[in-house]
Amino acid sequence: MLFNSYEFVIFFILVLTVIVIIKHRQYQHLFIVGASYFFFYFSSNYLLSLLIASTVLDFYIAKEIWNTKNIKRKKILLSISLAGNLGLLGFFKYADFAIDQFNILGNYFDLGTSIPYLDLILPIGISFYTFQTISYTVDVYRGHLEPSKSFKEFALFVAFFPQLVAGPILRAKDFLPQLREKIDNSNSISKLRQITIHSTNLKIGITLMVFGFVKKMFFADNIAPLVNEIFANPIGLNSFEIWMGTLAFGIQIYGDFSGYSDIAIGAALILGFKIPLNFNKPYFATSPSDFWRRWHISLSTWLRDYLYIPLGGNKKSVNRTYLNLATVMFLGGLWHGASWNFVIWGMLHGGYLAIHKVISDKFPLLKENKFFKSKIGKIISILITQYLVFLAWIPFRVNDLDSIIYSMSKYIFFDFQTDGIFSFLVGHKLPVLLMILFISLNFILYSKPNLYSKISNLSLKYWTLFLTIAMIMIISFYNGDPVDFIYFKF
Amino acid sequence: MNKHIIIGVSIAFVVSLTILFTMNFISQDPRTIENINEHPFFLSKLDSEKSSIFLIGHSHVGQLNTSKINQMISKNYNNIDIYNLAMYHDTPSSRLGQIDNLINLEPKIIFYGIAIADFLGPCKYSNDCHILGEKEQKLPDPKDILENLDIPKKIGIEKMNPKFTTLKFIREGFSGNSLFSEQGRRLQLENTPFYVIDDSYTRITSDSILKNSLIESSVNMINKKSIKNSNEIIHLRTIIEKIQEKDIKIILFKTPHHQYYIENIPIEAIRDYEMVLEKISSEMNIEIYDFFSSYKKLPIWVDLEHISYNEKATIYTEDVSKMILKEAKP
Repeated sequence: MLFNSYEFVIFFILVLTVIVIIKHRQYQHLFIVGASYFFFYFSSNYLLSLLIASTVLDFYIAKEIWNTKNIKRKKILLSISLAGNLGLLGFFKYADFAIDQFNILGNYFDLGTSIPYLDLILPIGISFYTFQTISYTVDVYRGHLEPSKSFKEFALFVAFFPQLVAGPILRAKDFLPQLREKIDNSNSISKLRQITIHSTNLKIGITLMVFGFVKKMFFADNIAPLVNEIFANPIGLNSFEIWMGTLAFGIQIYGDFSGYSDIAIGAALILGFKIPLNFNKPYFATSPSDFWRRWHISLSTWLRDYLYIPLGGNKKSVNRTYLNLATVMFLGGLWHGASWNFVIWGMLHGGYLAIHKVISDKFPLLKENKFFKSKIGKIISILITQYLVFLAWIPFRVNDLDSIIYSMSKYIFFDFQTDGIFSFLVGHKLPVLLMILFISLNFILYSKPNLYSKISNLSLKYWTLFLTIAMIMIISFYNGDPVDFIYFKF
Repeated sequence: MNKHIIIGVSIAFVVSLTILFTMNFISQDPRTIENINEHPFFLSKLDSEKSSIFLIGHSHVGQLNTSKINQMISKNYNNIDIYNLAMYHDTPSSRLGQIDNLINLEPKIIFYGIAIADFLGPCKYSNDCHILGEKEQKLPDPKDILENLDIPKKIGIEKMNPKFTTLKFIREGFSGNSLFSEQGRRLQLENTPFYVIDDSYTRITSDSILKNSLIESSVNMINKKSIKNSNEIIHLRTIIEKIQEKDIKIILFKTPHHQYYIENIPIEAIRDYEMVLEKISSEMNIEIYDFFSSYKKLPIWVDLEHISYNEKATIYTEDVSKMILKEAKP
């Protein structure tokens, strides 16, 4: 079920209505679990069984890990959980990719290997919910989290519908406590939280959802045709066209994914749940590491906590730190899809992070330099960072190697072919105008923090006016066919 | 307070929908006509002293220059009127709904242009039709429940493309401004009641842009969906039977496609397309003309599936005129 479909609107209204009608807190929670499973079943049908299997596996394994005192047994149990989750993810997501590589290698060495593809469907959201269950079990293993006593609560954590298919990746320690409320200020005794729809949450939630819909349906979906046209076959295009395509794709993917996250956060907030921020103005990042503190925050912090730090982080030798960075970004790239272009994207970012670290370590005073603290210095840092970030979007978007190399070389070595610029702009008026509008709005958002809450605090009259304008933008530019969110594929 | 917020949301929703419907009403377009059977064309009386020949099909047929065809035909027969009754996104299943009205107008011959993508049905450009393939569906599909409710139809936006309506409204609003009006000009052609030529359909697109436009064509769907067992074949046969029952001659023709289109669809799909039409031809005794790859390399295309409505691209119109002349012989 796509957020940008009328089915979701009906579904969400029904969920809210039933929640208001059911007063019993046990049934409220049970109902959200059921609704989440229905939400998943709606688009994935029998693949719901995988979600349930992953939930059952980690619920019981985490319990066993917590109860056993034997370190070896703990490790075995953790390995089973990891093997189960990563096996599920690996099998469905990477089996055909592995077969492909095996066949290529076989042909290279004239072994005549030709293993047929499995042609499996990628279960929606599998990359997200397996990471959630892994983080839960690892946290229990590390002793950072007491396992959930209730299967229902754990199932809700794994399947909570607003973030089920494309994140943000939740942490159990953030989410599970929200299902309970303390009794009489006691720290230990708690009962299930009554789910009520508070007017403040409702207003902020709707505001966030509307922002998300505008980002996705007004901006991303209407900029997408320009991206598709340019990157379907970029070879032969000039630098200006490649730049426009890259810029358009950067805006499209940000609008698409952060739009989804806004809808998810807004929908959860209406139900009284706080989901952590997933994007924080990433295109205003002043360095590659700053970019990863702002882009897909739930994934980058997951990779940091469950991969980078266990590998040793930056606590070991300098070379080991670079190797860790490269490993994390390689796997982070591969997480996005079973394709080498995502690996190139990940490795490019790994390279950026490594170079940034080398410079920061060699010149520690650079950070304190007056110039880089000045406005102009900050602008230059942003421009350099974004030049690199947008360069990396090319392999993320383009599939074949020749096109990637061609596009990246045209991006880096600008060819100054200026004839045809005007006709290109006139021929793509709508996406170009939307890109300008999107960039302008982002500058406004940058200079006005907390815009969401400011809008939510408007009087009802002005808030309704805001909603009306936003809805006109969404509805009037909807092309009659809901377009998948890009991150649904990952 | 929650009540007030819900009222606010409802007001915003109603106002935005009202604006959309108003724009749509002001700039009504054949693409958004909900019930084509209520179109004035079916209420009008055709010239009883002249025979009528109908061209039907979707936009592939719509791009034919009806005025030019009429001119060419009138040189040989001055008592024949040609009507181009092409419709946007037409498929045999949608055409079946109005075939009785067409038959009631008693044409002499009906020429039906069939493209390979017509056998995909209404899903030819849609991404939503293949999220979970039919074969993979093991359990009951809750989508069916919502589809049966048919909400878009009930609120009247079933066939509306809001983006198209809005852009059209904006262009008409800025008609004095050359930046907008150039693309916004639309031509309602003679004897072509259900199809409007947009200015963009009159351009000849460069080869590099055509190469890049594969993703926007129906090629993807042809690669994903087999046409061999399509319901559209049954609907096409029903249409032919209905026409033949009334002793009206029907001729099929394969509409033209660009080289990049042909090269990027599976050879099996082309074979199936040819087999289906050949079978219909032999079993139902129908003549079929083949323009499928006739112009595949010529620089006359708007996109991979449509020949331009342009004076430099009249070869398709001329060939169709010749086909009509041949079949119109007493």
